[in-house]
Amino acid sequence: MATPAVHTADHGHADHDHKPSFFVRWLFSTNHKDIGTLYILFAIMAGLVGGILSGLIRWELAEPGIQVFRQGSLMAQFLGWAIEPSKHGYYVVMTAHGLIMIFFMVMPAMIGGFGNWFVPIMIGAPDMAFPRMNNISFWLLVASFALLVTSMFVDGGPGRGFGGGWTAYAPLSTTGHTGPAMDFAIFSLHLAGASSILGAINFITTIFNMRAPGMTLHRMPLFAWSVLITAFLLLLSLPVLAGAITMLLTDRNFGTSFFNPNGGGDPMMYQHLFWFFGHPEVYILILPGFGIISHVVSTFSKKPVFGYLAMAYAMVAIGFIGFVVWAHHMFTVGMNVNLQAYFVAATMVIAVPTGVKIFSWIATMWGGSIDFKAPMLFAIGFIFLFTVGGVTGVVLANAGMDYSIHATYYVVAHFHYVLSLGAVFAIFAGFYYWFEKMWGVKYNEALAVVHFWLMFVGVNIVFFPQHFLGLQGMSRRIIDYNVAFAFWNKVSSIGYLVTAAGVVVFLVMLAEAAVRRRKAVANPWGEGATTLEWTLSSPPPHHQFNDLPVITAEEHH
Amino acid sequence: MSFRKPDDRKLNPAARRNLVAAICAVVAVAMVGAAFAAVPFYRAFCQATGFDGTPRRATAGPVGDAGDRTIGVRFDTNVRDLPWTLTPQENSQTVRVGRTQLAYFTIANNGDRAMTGRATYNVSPESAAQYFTKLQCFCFSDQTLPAHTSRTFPVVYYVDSRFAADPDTRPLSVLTLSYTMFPAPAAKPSGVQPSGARPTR
Repeated sequence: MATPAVHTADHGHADHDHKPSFFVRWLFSTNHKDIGTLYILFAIMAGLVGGILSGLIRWELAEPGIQVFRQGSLMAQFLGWAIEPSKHGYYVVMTAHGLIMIFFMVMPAMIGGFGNWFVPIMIGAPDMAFPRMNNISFWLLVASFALLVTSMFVDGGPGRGFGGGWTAYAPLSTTGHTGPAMDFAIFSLHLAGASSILGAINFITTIFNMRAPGMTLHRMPLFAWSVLITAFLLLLSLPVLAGAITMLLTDRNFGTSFFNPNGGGDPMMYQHLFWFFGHPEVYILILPGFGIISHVVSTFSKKPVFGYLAMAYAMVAIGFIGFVVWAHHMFTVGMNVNLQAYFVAATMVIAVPTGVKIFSWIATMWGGSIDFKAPMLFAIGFIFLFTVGGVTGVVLANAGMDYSIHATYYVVAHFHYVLSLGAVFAIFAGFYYWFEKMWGVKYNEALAVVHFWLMFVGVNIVFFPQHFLGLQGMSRRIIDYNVAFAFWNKVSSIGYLVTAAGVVVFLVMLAEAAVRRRKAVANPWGEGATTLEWTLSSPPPHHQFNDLPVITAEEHH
Repeated sequence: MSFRKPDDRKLNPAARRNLVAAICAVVAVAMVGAAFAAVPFYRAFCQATGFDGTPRRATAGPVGDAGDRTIGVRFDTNVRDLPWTLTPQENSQTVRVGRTQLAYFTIANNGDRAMTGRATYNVSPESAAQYFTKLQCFCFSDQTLPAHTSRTFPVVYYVDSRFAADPDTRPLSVLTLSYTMFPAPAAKPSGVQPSGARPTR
């Protein structure tokens, strides 16, 4: 337990806890907690947009044939101004769903939101190392989102918007989409990348230089560890994406031939560059979730995390291996069999540190006095869903298997289990865990539990049948499908409605908490909550740790 | 209470922060550079190893004795965005590994004006590409043909005798050399926009 030196946190000195005016506070914000709040609000907004887009996808796929994305449909009447009622419109929606969920929902929530809010507090720092750069990071992301939305409304070539998937493979993204929509999407990714790189630099600097006295790296809470590793992944992988999409841009507009075989280029090189970024990216999405889950499981089992050092270094190992497995996304491009064997083996090695984490979470719960509050429910839901996704990941890691299920719904089910369900459940676990700390009011436990069960049942109904569809050969990304796939698609779409009901309950929960305004307490979770944020009031003072806490005990994580 | 003990050898906190941030920024810029450096590296890697079906090019003939194995080499030709035809003189050849072979291809410009094209090539299956070595070809250099004329180009190649020893390629009895003729990037025929990235449709 921390022993804060003369603790001034609770009484908010008029000088030290002076809050700027609304406009200055939220637009020119340099306070890590305010910026974190902005990120979380932004992520909720983007998550709703991305969720509505996925609803259009499930609506279309509910039945074989094309009912929604065509002239005269209900969708065309109400959303025709925004989304083209055509096959191309479907592909644009699918692309936007992926990009929004990855870059504007999960990353802002995990890294920008919880990272900004709690990393400085957990390591006992007064703020981030570069508060103004933090502000730039956030507003770059808003600009980036604006560019992506703009991209949906301008000509793409085959129709309005870019419909080449979040991977934007050449040549579909070069010669296949001649209009400016792809250029807007490229600039959007440039800005999102710049935002994340600046954020990563900020986190690395903060964690390396601003830890409180006694807070050694090996005493640092696991969430701070996870954000540190994530920041390194961002720093090393995003510039490669920036390079790759810059090459797309020059291939499209300035006559270069990076990916154009016509001029001696090779479209496959785009895939290599993209996945050199793309594979670390999926760990970027999930690693902070690992950190959150460790805290939640430990708090609600009233036990320290089992195998703290192994947990920290398992994340380091996952981050490291994540950089040397990228071509398992490309088994079917015709690689040398020895190279495939390497990527199969390296990919499967990832299951080892991941297994260390899963088993350590279970060992943390083992023999604990478990309290099944909403954050813990989401954490256990995360562990279950992530493990299902991990198992299908090991299946997909086999090149021979991948030949038959590459680009089918099996892959879609796999990555939604680890990301859509894994990462999102981790976000909700963190959201409820820190709800009182962030907003200063209590949430309604009953609504949160209903939210959990609707989400948990709903997402499983959505994605579990997609395993069957994929094994039967249903291609991902295609608007129409064989009638043989009709049944499980129907089931999957019904699952979407259940999930959507869960999201509605979530919004009701937010509204209820905002209206009732039950006063939060500093530590609602009791003895299990041992990290520094629980030593502060809820919400914390505008500037915390004017006198730095001194960390002495080893068990502090 | 001070952040850390005063120590002459250590930078002050602000300088230390800036140093770490600067190192991070350099790393980020270096990774962008590495992405672009991957382009020539990737090309060199493919040519050196035959990765991704890239045949090797050499200036000297095969070393060692010709093997006893014979394999079939088929020729596939394609033309894109040009009013040209590209035809091999023979559709396939039977060759002994380790022995130099000669094949002829005829390019005809059926259009009404002089045009410049450029050929790219590939070998399938990819695993055989590392043993398919070309001594002379018409690839990757611009070929300008006047209207309604044709020219014949020789391709001199050999299949390395190690082809017969490699467990990946030993079972193969046939491989395919594929050529595709494109408009040269700098000199597109009218109707195709100059970016090279824009289709006519």
